[in-house]
Formats: sequence, structure tokens, C-alpha cells
Amino acid sequence: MKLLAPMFLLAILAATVLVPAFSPYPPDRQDPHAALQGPSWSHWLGTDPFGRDLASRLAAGASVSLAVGFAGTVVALAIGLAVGAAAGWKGGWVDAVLMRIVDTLYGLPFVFVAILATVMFRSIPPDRNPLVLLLGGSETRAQLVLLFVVLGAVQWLTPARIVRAEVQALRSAGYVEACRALGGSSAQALRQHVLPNLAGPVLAYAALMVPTMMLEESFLSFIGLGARDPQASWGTLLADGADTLNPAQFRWWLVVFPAAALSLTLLSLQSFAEGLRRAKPGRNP
Amino acid sequence: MAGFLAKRLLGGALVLLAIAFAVFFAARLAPGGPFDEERELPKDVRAALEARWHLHEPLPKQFAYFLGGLAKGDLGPSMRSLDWSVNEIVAASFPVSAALAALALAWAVPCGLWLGARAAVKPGGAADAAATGASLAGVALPSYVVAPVLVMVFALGLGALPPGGWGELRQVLLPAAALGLPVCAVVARLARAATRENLAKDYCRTARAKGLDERSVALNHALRNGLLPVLNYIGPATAAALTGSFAVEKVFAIPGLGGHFVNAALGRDFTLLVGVVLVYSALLVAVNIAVDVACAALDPRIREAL
Amino acid sequence: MRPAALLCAILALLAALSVAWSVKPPPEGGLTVAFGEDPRTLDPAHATLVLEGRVLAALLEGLTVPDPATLEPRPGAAESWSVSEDGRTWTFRLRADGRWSDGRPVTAEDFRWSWLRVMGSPEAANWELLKPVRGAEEYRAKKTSADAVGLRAPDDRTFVVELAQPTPYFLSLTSLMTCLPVPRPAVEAHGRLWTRPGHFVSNGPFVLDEWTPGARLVAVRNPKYHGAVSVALPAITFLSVPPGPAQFNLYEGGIARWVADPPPDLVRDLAGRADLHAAPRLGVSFVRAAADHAPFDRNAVRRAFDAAVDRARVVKTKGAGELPWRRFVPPGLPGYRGPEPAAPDARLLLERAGYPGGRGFPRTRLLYPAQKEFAVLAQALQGIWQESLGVTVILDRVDRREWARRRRALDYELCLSSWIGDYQDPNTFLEIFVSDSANNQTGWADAEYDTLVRRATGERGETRMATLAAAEARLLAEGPAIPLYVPVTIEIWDPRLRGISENLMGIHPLAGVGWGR
Repeated sequence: MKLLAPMFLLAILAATVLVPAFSPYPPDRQDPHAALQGPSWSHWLGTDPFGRDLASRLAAGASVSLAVGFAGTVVALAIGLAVGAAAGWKGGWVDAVLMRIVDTLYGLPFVFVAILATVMFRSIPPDRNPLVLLLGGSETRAQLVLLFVVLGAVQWLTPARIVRAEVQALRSAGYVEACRALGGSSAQALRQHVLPNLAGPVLAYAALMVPTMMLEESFLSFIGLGARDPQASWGTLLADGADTLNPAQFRWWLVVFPAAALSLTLLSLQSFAEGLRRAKPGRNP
Repeated sequence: MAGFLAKRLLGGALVLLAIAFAVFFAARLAPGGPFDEERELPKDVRAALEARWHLHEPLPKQFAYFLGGLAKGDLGPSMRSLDWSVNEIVAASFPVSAALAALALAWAVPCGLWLGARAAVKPGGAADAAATGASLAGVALPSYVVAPVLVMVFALGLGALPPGGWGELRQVLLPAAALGLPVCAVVARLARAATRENLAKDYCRTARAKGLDERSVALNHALRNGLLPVLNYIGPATAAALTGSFAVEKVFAIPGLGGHFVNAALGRDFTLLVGVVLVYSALLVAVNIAVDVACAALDPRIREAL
Repeated sequence: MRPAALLCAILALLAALSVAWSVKPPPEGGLTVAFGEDPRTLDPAHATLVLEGRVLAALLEGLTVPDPATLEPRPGAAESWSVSEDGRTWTFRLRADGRWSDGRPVTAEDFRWSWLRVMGSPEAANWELLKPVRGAEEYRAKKTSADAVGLRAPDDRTFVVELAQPTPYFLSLTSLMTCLPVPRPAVEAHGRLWTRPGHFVSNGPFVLDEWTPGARLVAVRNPKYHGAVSVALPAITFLSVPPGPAQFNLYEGGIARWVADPPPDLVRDLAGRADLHAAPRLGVSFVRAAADHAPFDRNAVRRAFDAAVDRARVVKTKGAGELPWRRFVPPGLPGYRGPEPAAPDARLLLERAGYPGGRGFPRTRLLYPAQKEFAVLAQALQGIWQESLGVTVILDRVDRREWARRRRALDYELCLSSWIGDYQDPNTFLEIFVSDSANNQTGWADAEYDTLVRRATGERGETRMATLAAAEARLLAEGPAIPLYVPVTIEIWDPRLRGISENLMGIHPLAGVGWGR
């Protein structure tokens, strides 16, 4: 039972490698004669309105989604931890300034930041774009990195608030005060007593953040910043599938398979996070 | 406490001003303007429309006009709905969104807390499985998937509830369910983690030693002390319920603010966009202040630190 | 636990209260429709959208009213009309019993004032529809006074229009929303606010009763309307519902009984249902090719891309019953016979242009707005061009405004576009590609084409149609626009409703609509 989660994640990774290698259908190949077919022997997971093979597209989408989900989460957690810990620990004007920035950014809706990022990226031609040059001239890769940055930049706010609240509470906890009273430096107290106690709530949140990132990416794709047509991600596949929902004809495979991929990945991540937490429990006094 | 509140309110006003500034300029930096239509407008008509909103003037001057209007509480006329002012549009649609979001939070937060606490009592038990399942569905299935499924099953399949529209309480139930689900999921998840963390602590052991059963310990002691992260999530949850209502409003044809917001952003209706964002922001700032006050009320250590 | 519980209780109370406040139920016996989002405006001078046209046609009555099925002009505010021998002077005789909803008679001066208002209003987006009237342009440019414009009202019931050129389609313009009369006293008293309920005075079958922006608009029967006895519906409620699944759900759930913009791919799944009406539209879906820069500055390249498109496959992917189309002017225009398009070999053309098998052809961007219908079309076209020509097409999806801006700036190679005709004449399609048209947006300028289109404005009858056909032939041979298909309007209405007909323009006069047995 315990091995199920990592095994599932491994299976997903294997599928991203194996399906393209063995599937007779490239993810972008259209076949107008095979449009909108349910699962069958020739197309295991069915086809979309263009007659593209859903299995191939899910496998291709996995790499985009996993990359975006993990990298975006790492970016968001890094910023959130730093800002939240600084604000909660230092208090005073540092806290006030940082939290006002957080409040301001909270008020700025996500669509907005996303559109702005697209614009700034697009306004520079690829041959002079620093991000593209940095990544060896690959526009596609640069776009993916931009996605991490945009998602992380938007999503660090909640971890920051959570971390700040925890740190604030811990700061006045007896054992932390005792550590300081015994002559421990501020940094020492922070490292030894506060940060380990953050692991629980932060990991709990992070496990949920990865799939959230994957879904937000589908929204970005919708406004033209995410994965480019006809490139797929789980989020875009799910959104496209949801769009075909109507009471007259239920094309369940277009919704169920992307949703299953997302939820099972989420489930695995969750139990993974749980396992991590158990293996390395917070050091309570 | 009063001084703290005054300080926060002043800070909130500054935040709103900063947001107004950011949105005003950022909107105008985006390529394409409000009058770039699918069918090109005659040149003179375009010029006349741009002149009406001062779009031909330098940005700082436009911002001055905007601040002048703002000081009088006037957000200006909408660029899409030519016959209405932003104030009127917001006044018509905000109560709708607010009611929907409030209803969604009203069921989702208590439900999430309860699920989370129950799950923490017996990890691996039935309640835990239910909570995990719910949070899984809530997070992995975005509202644009959940909402159409709800419509298909409860409205068109069973005929139990109307498939959309606005006007009576029956029409609000399905959208509130769809909107609240992700919030419920996250709250359950946070509450479970926090409760379990606290259940291992000494005071809970003491409570148990005094003969309290595990459920009471979890609900009355561990959850109460684990509320901080959950309370901190209420701010973002409100944001999610308000801005996230776009998909739900679209599926259920609800005349709320969410539709206006996305249409304004994608349609470059600058005046409406600034107006809607300011309303959202004002609400979020207020919620965050309320959350801080609640935190202080809940945790004496924070109260003393104020 | 207590503060949280308290908070929730307050929130729930607020919710219940604001729901209770919100709306009164739609009027009894009336009809609720969902035609799309809110009208942007109810001022005929500023209105441009199909939906606005529908609402306005319920509130105001033009000189003529289109026949629900054939769209032929029928008597409206005018009971009869005549045209002079040279086709330049139209005389309308207004009906004696025409009344505004405030009781004032509808006079010829009302029309003269309203039309002058459109010509003079700086924000009147569609004023160019009145360009055929003599002196309109000079009046708009403030070079002449109102008296010099070819609009006269010799008495209360006679309205005379003088045209600069004999304009065969002029009569069909008189029923368009831009040419509707507006209530002068209300406009002068309330300025921009005249379109509000309470201020709006109408001469049509319905009066404006309620308008909540972004939510709904209610029109109730106008007792002062000359044909009030034959207006079957006591009220119409227009819900503001964006195009898409929600419209269909509202219909299926019985909340709206007539919807105008359900998801187009529903047609595939609902085929055979009696309440589904898919009618070809007076429009064309096409691809603009930027003819001012490489690689589409070469005729052979444009035509290769044109010839390579398998329209049947495009239409099959779209799936709403669109009509594959190789010409620019859609079918169904009376008296017009378009040219026969040539079918050259696409690969051969591209080879002659120096790109055998697509080798060496630069990566080409296909610009389109972020809407599902366009995304489907773009991906289908990408597949077709890459397979048949061996070129690389990059899908360039941007939001709607940026799409329009980049199209105007010619910052694209290929661009998905569509055009919907304003009136039933080839001119409404062909005039957009003359070199000084604001809607050309391809960088293509052709003196021969301009001459042909101009020449047609002075001609009449068959000669004129032949000239226009020659112009279309020239357009197709040059290929700045690659036509794809004729779009369809998809509407679903309750089978019990009477008096609605499918037609080319999606125009539905609501006066004659009612519940049958």
C-alpha cells in the first residue's frame, strides 16, 4: 500500500517515455476519419474532435504538466518561505511592509499578472529575448520557464501568509524563547526550532499546490500564455473535455481520463507528502 | 486593539491606492485597446471614442483624471457598455457575486473543518478516506468541470434544480456547491494536518488523561488550536470564491462580477477593469483585516504582540 | 470554533438577504430568450451587434420592417414608398396612425432628425451605412449644413431621401438598426441617459420596462403601437447569457425558450431535433494573407495556400453544418452569380514559387483569437497545410483585442477572420477589400479591383452584378483572402412558438412571434 504512490508516479513517468516510443500515433497527428471515437483497441483512450489519439496526448501532456506543477511549486514555496519567515520572525516594520506587498498582490487578480507577463515576453522578438537566449535559443523552453515564474510569482502569497502566522505563533512559544534566553542566536532558534515545525503545514499545502499549478496552467493556456496549440497538457485536455460536456452526447473519455490522471497524481503526491512528514517529524519540545 | 485596527485600515487604503495605480498602468501597457474591434471602426469614430475616455492623452494625465473621478467616488463610464457607468454595473452585479461567494463559504468552511477534524481522529479510517476523497475531488476537479457535471446530473438529469439563472434561492444552490467544493477541500486538508499536529501535543495528552474521549479532544482542543492556518486561508478562500466564480457564473449564467472582470480584462474595458479590481481588492483587504483580528482573538500570544 | 461559526452565520444571513433582494420573476405569459450578452447600448446610432439589432427592432420601428422569412422590406412606419426613374429619389409615405409610446405622432421630421443625428454623431460606428445619402459625408465633415443633406420632410407624413448614386440596396437599409427613428424630446431631455427604462420612448411593438446591466432586459407590449392588437406576446425578457453551453442548459431547463448562440458543435449531437435551427448566414469565414511582406507578398504563394485547403475536412472538424465555400461572396444574394473559382494544383504553385515540397518555406504564423471556435479551425488548418504543402505553420493564439490590433498593424502572415454582411448585396462583402477600406487589413491594394468596385456603384441591374462578379473574380485570382466556409447561425426555439423563420441575416421581428396551440 505504501509503495503504491511512488509506483504510480513512476508509472506516469514511464508512460511519458514509453507511449511516444511505442504508440503508432504521434500526439499531433490528425485523422479526420477517426474523430471523437470512444476507447477501442486501436485507440485505447479514444480520440478527440481532430481524431488525435488521447493516450498519446495524455502522455505528451504529462511532461508539460509535471514540469509546470513541480517547478512552479518550488518557486512559490521558496519565495513564500523566505517572505513569510522574515515577516513573522522580524515583526515590526519588516512585517508591515512585506504584508502590505502581499496584500497588494492578493488584490491583483491572476489573469492580470498573466496577461502582463505574456505581453512583456512577446514584445521582445525571440532572437533578442534574454530569456530565450539564456535557454539556448529555444522559444518553447523559454515559454515553459516563463510559466514556472509566472505561476510561482502568483502562488507564493498563500504559503507566505501561512508561514508567517506559524512563525508568529512559534516565536513566542516557550521553547523558542528559552532557546534565545539561553543565548542561542536568532538564526539558530529559527533553524532549530521554527523551521522544522513549519514542515507540516507547508508540506500539506505544497501537496495541493502541484495539481493547482497544473490547473492554473490550463487557464494560462486558454489566454495564450501556457502550452501552445496543438501542444497538450493535462489541464488543457481536461478543459477541452469539459467543454464538450452536454446532455445530448456524453463523451466521458475526454473528461474522465485527464481528470483521472490529475487526481491520481494528486493522491500519490499527497500520500508521498504524508510519508515524508512521518519519516522526518517536526521536533516538538 | 483600536490602534491596531486604525493602522490596518490606513494600510488597507494605501494598498487600494497602490492597486489602482498598478492596474491602471498595467492595463494600458497590454497591447490592443478597448476599441480594437473585430470589425474596424471608422477612423473618426475611433478617435471620438478614444477622446471620450482621454485615451489620446499622456498616461499621467489620464491617471490624474482617474484620481479626480475616484475622489468623487466616480469610476467613469464603461467602455463596453456605452450606456452605463462602472458604478452602476458594479452596483448591479456585486451583490450577486457576494451572495454566491458568501453562500459557498458558509457551507464549505464549517464542512471542511468538520471533515478535517474527523479525519484526524482516526487516520486511515472511513472519515479520513472521505476527507481525502473530498479534498481530492475538490482540488483535482476545477469548477469548470464540476459545474457542468452538476448541471447535467441535478438539473437536466434529475430535474431537481434549475440549470442556471438568477432570482430565487433554488437557483443558487448548485453554483454555491460548485464554488465551495475547492474551498472545502483545502480547509479539510489544512484542518486535518493542524489537528493531527496538535493531537500529539502535551495539552491534548492531558485532556485525554482527564478522561475526555478522542473526538472531544480533537474538536474542542486540537482543532481550536489548529485554526490559525485555516483562518489564514480564509482570505485567499474569499478571493478564490470571488474571482474563481468566473467559471461558475459562466456555466450557470449568473449575472455576477466575475464575468464582468474577465470580459473587462480580455476586452480592455479599462474603466470597468479598474472598478472591478478595486471592489475585489477592497473586499479582500477587509477580509484580511478581519482574519488578523480573529487570529488575535484566538491566540493570546498574537494579541499581546500587537 | 465559535468565531468561525459566527462568521459563517453572518455570511449565510447576508447571502440569503441579497438573494431575496435581487429580482422579480419574469412577466406571466411572456417569452424569455437568451440571445447573448447584454446589448452594449440601446442607442441606434451607436449599436452594431446582431443582438442589439434584435432588441432595438422590438422597441423601435423603421420605415420598413423585414419579412421574417424572405427579409424583403415590408411596410413599417411607412405605409408605402416610391422611387424616381433615375433611382436616386425615394419618397416614403408614413402611416397616419404611427404613435410614439408617449402619444406623440411619428412624423417625417422624426426620421430626418434621427438620420442626421447618426450622420453627425462622432461615435456612430455604423454611420457609413448612410453614406449613399446625398451630402452625408460633407455634413459629417461639417462642410455643409443639414439643409444641404438629401433628407427632406415636406409634410408630417412625407419623407424624401435623395441619394448620390442609384443604390439598389437602399431600401433594405431602411430596416437596419442604424436607420431606426429615435424619440427627439427624450434624447434632448436626457442626453446619454435617454436609453434608460422610464426615459426610453418607443414607436415599436414593445416598450422598455427594465434593464439591469449584465443581467437582463425586459420589454413589455406597447399599447400605443399601431399594430398592438396583433402583437401576441405581453412581454419579452432578454437574459444576458454569454454564448456557449449555458444557453443550451437554460433552454433544456425551461428557463429560456429561445436561444441564439448555443455551442456550435451541439449540432452534431442534436441532429434531427425539430427545435434546432441551423441556417446558413450571410457571411464568410476566411483567412487573411498579409500581402505586404514575405512570403505572402507573392501571388503564387497565396494561391497555393488557398488551393491546398480541403474545405470539406475543415467543415467536418467544425461540425456545425457549415457550407464549404471557395468564393468570397456567400450564396443566396438575389440576382448575383459569382465567378467559378479555379482549382489549381497547390503543390505545383508552391514549387513554382521556389519552394518544392515546402522546402525552404519560412515558418508561418497563423494568427487567431483565443476562442474555442477559432482554435478548432486553426488546428484543422495547421494540419491541412502541413500535410499537403510540407510547410511549418505555427499557431499564434492571442486575445481578441490583440488579434484586432495586430491585424490592423499587418503583424501576421495568416490571420483567421470572418465577415458578416450588413445588407443583401455583394457590395457589403466586396467593398472591404478596396485599397482605402479600413477593413482591408491585408496590405493588398489593386487598382483594377478598386476600379471595378467603384464602377459598380454607378451602375444598375445586371450590368452592375456582372461588374461585381468581375471584381470578385479578380479578388479570388489575387488571393489576399482565402475563403473557407459559409457559417451557420444556430438557434433553438420552443416548437410551440409561432412566427419565427430561419433567414440569412438572423433578423427576427418579434412583433409577430407568439405561442401557438
